[in-house]
Amino acid sequence: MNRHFHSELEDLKARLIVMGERALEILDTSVNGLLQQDIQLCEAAIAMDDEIDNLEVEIDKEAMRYLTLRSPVASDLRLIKVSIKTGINFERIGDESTSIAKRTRKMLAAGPITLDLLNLEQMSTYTKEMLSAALDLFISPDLDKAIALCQRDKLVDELNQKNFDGFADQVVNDPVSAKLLLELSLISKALERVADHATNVAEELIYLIKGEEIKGKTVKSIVI
Amino acid sequence: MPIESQPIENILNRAEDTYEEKATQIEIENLSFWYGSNKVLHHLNLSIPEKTVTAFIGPSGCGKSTLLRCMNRMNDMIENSRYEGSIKVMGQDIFDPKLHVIELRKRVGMVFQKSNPFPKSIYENVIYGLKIAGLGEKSALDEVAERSLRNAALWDEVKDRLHESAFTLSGGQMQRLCIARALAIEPDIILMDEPCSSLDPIATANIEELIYQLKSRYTIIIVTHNMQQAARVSDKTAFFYLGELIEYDLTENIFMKPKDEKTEDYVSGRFG
Repeated sequence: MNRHFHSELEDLKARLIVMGERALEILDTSVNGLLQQDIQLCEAAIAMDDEIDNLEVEIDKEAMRYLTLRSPVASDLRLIKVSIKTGINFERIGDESTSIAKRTRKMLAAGPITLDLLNLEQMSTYTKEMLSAALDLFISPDLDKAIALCQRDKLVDELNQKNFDGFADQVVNDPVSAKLLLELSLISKALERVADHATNVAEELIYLIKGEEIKGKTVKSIVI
Repeated sequence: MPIESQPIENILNRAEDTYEEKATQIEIENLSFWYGSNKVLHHLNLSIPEKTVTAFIGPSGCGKSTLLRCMNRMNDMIENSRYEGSIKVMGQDIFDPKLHVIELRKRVGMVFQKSNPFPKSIYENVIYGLKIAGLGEKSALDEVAERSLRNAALWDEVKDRLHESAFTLSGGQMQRLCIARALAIEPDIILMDEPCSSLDPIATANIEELIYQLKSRYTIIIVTHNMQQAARVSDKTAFFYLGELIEYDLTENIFMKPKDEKTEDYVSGRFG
């Protein structure tokens, strides 16, 4: 039997998807601000963050309301928990993207960026793909795709490490650009964190599908 | 339209639409009630909006069922009972000596804790009130019986056995039959005194869904000991303790951020 309040869960899921789309949009805009050296895109990304923050508050409120009034159990209960935690991850993606936009704006204020961005473009492509894949999983849950998404996080971690080493090397050769190189290194770290949050979302979706927490477990044990 | 394709405004505005304020249908003013010398309701004041579900909750003996029975003057039959104050239903004082109690009960129907079908057929049970009121034309009675059973979500289950005894129905079906009987007289208000207390979870869910569907046309007041049920089905909740109204608010406020410490203790199970 479908209860009248089950539609509220669909609404909650729809809000999460909207929030995820906004997170993808802010990430895309802030990264384009960096790659195209466009201050207006940076400003646009910074302006988007409030909407994401408000969506997190709404999702939290609706999830708490459902938890209190509808006595959810089983997959309904798991969806409530996943909604709250995923809302936090999307909100953090908004924060990291805002951080990328603000750092870029600060660098561009001093003039065009002529430094080598190393693997930042490749990292941003991976993180956007990961976040987009996480959103697809909300619409069509798929355990294999969720596990594959978690495994991609390592690639972004490796690129971040390469960036850190590369920017550090440049500081030695070009100490005058040390501040800019530090900003780029922090942008790299922000992208790495976005990938972590996208991975967290995939892990939450695995929990939603399987009912098991997978943090700290090997991929092999998840598949079994 | 799949929810993913709907404009975000539609989704975001839905929650606010749910609790729009409605006109008052029942106004209880300074109501006190005694069984003999025992005062069981103390100066109650309560405005109940139309076409909503209001839940009365509280520990046994708090007066919630007494108040419910005051609303269609079921307590009149209890010797040595008396009241002070007033209850107005759509502006009419129900204690007005000129008001005929039968007329009141046509407007304020009641469903009891234990389903109480008459020892008659399913059909006869539904139309009993109308027959008593003198409506005898068969086609009209048939129409009311079908409409009432449909509105009580029972028609599909009984349409081929209308003339079988009501006692052949399951507990949940009997309770829905009693709701159909209450609906047949076309009341404005339906009082429900623990309507699911003797039903299994599936029959309970059926009644709760029925309550949700009926609230678009009727004002429903439900007394329940099951707080999760109050949370699931009602728009507003009143918490009573020792004959006093402790708190009355939107259900989500009562269960998420009650203002009174007694309400907090009761809904969180810390009472006593």
